[in-house]
Amino acid sequence: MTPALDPAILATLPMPRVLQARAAADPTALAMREKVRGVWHRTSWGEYHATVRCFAIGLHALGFRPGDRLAVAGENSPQWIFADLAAQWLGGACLGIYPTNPWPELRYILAHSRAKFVVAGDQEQTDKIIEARRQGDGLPDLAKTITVDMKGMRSYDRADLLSFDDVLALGREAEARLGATVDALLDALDPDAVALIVYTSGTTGMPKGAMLSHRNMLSSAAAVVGTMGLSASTYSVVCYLPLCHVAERSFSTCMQLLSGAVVNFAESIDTIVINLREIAPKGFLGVPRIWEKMQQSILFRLRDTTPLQRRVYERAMALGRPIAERAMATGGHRAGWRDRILFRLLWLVCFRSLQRFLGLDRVRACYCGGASVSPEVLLFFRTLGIPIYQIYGMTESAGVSHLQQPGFTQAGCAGRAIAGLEQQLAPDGELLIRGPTVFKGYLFDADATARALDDGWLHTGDIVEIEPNGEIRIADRKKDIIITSGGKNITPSLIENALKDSLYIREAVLLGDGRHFLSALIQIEYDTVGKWAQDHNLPYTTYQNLATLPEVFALVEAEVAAVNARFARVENIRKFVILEKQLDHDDGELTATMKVRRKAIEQRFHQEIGRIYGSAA
Amino acid sequence: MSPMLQLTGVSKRFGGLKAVNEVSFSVEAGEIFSLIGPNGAGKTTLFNLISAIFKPSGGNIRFEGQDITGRPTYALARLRIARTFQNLAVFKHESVVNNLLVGLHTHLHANPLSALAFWGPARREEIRARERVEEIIEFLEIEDIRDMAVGTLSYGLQKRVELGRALAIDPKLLLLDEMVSGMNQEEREDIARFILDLKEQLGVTIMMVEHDMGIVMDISDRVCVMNHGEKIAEGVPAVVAADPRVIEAYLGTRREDRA
Repeated sequence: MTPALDPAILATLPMPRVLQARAAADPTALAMREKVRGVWHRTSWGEYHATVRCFAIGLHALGFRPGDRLAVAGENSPQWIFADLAAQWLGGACLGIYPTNPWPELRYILAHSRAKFVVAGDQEQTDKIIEARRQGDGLPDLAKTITVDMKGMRSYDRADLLSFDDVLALGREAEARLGATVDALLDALDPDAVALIVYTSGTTGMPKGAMLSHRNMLSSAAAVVGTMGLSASTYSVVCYLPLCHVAERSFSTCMQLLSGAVVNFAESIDTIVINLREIAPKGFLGVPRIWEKMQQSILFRLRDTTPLQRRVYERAMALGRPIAERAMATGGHRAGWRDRILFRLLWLVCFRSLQRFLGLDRVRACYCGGASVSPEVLLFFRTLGIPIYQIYGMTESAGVSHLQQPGFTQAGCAGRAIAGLEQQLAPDGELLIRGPTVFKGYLFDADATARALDDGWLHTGDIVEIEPNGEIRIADRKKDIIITSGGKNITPSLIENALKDSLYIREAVLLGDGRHFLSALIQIEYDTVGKWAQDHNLPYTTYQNLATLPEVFALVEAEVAAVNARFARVENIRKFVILEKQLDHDDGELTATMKVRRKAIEQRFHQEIGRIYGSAA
Repeated sequence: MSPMLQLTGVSKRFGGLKAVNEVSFSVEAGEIFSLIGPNGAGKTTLFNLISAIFKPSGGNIRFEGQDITGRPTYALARLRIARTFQNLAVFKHESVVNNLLVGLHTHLHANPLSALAFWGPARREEIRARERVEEIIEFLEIEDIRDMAVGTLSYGLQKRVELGRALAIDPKLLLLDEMVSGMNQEEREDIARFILDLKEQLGVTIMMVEHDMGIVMDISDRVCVMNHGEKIAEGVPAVVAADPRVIEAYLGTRREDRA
């Protein structure tokens, strides 16, 4: 590696400058793959850089100036990242809008951010923008909509609409005229300028736009790259979590820029599982929901295998589990040569195929973050030989602020603070952090900024304990702690995760704040319960129908009883209700990142809650 | 300019039964033309006449000005007329990709010897065919099932594969026989969108037989109504829906059924 490409030095540059440095050092090296029409297409660092520059010139020609904002609404694609870096190149900021956001939410973000341009992935997103412009004052700040995939849009005749390729063509055309100006803008770029704005999904209230600088993003990413020793040969990812979210931006864009790794784009959302298997990336970031789903996909497929295969699996898991437990206790290293040899054997017989099935057979390190995860899930993957390190962080800390790593893998903990980050606990146990990764405030919202930042200390809103080895153990969100009428403090996530370990439970929301016992709203896992019902000859038509079957209630009751047995009496769930509808982002019950909005759920299901606690509640 | 498809006095008798009686209409290039009518009105028979499954007892059928009455079915494929069937007609044990490739075979010209060597033109042709298949897969958004056996797919997806195979011959005229029957609401909407995209993006002329009034009225440019083997009305959807004969013969009775 040339000294110019040392991640620690690159991390002090603005992001587009890092791209420039990589392209200059080795323009033919592979940067991205995207599967189009069944074939993986490759993009080199040279092409990556040239496209971003060309798009930046096009944007500049259209009137994008330093300090302006560009929004992107679409599924992950190379174009998403090109637009992102081009906006930053010109001294502007880029913000992502979830493709699943309904148009009023999209409208709110476009209006609030006063975005000047918006890049839309396809016709669906473009239609939402057009719809949003029809309402109210018509988004006066928005000059142009740039659509990537023009399929189905032949008959659209609007002056404010052009295609991604149009902008690239414009960039090529204006290169001679504006190239030097645009390059000068890059040279003048301040690493502390706002590079991206991330609208937090907001489990309460309207989303807020967190402003993050180049330095914020790259400092956090550089800490992970440094600690885990990520380079082009030890890191590669499939970019599949929404890029609007800070985590995917950090793990795909920032860590790619710093390590020179390859980022792969799946063909469509429906093909991620298949594409993952084809690519077999060396790094993988998942939210707990993804890991739970992967685990379920194995457990469920197993039921359709032969008795012999099942026996081999069960035996391998029984032998492998203690090895994994010992490894986690010793910080992720195999304890002794006996464990090593036995694991190798189990790997040959069983685990290798399971790893391949998941597409994680080449993985060096996996990460889990975004919400608390059940230790059972982590142990399951550890047993298979897939190490998952828990990470902790938030939008306002530019991604990772705490990281598990070899040597620090205590169950139920979320790692040590990254280098350069100060931390302390408030008297009530809330975690406060300060350092180069802490954000620059919320866009157009000084009040919220003042509430979140106090003398540079960021209030995380999480109640944590710091373990003797320096790892943090997160109890819960400060505002989610349940205090029963008996005065007991209960952290709901622990019990909820235990419930969600069940194959049949998709989501569990614990209730009991100010009440004399705990209860739960439970959403069943449609696929697995449906299959279970089929196996037991129970006819059903819809989710609602399935959820109301008495046999399904009995099934869930048994699962709840099993969880209750693991907790103290005050923490036991005395009653529960199976929700008759699936929680949905469109209905406001989940955030775009599939976290439950407790307040919304408690309001929406007040009838069910009434049934639990009687009319007095 | 002559219409894309022109029927003049087309009839079909099965013994004494007049399934289709002196029907005339024309389908213009680039439009979506729907054929509706109660069960047994002779829609599918008429379709089978156009796609040369049956030979008409009288009248003639012209495609782009040339008489195609009584031509064999394979000749229609060369003229780029494609159709789907009311009942599924796919190779259940073959993958989606192979099902689509079958549709392309009229465009493959390599002789057995060069195909065996898989070199030169045969190889280029095969690669080109595979690319064409991928274009169709992308168009129909079935990337995730491309390697699955068609028999394992849901009915709606199987229909989509069948549509894909019809598209493989790069049709000018596409005949769709009750595409959405047996589909759920979401699958219907998907198909309606694909049909509109076919017309707008690929310029395919579409003639369909359909029972689903919602889709017919939403996406058709013109509608022809049949009853007892005869044409009773023709025109834009709004006008046809208001025609008293149509209401009596078809829409009216349906409404009573529902009541």
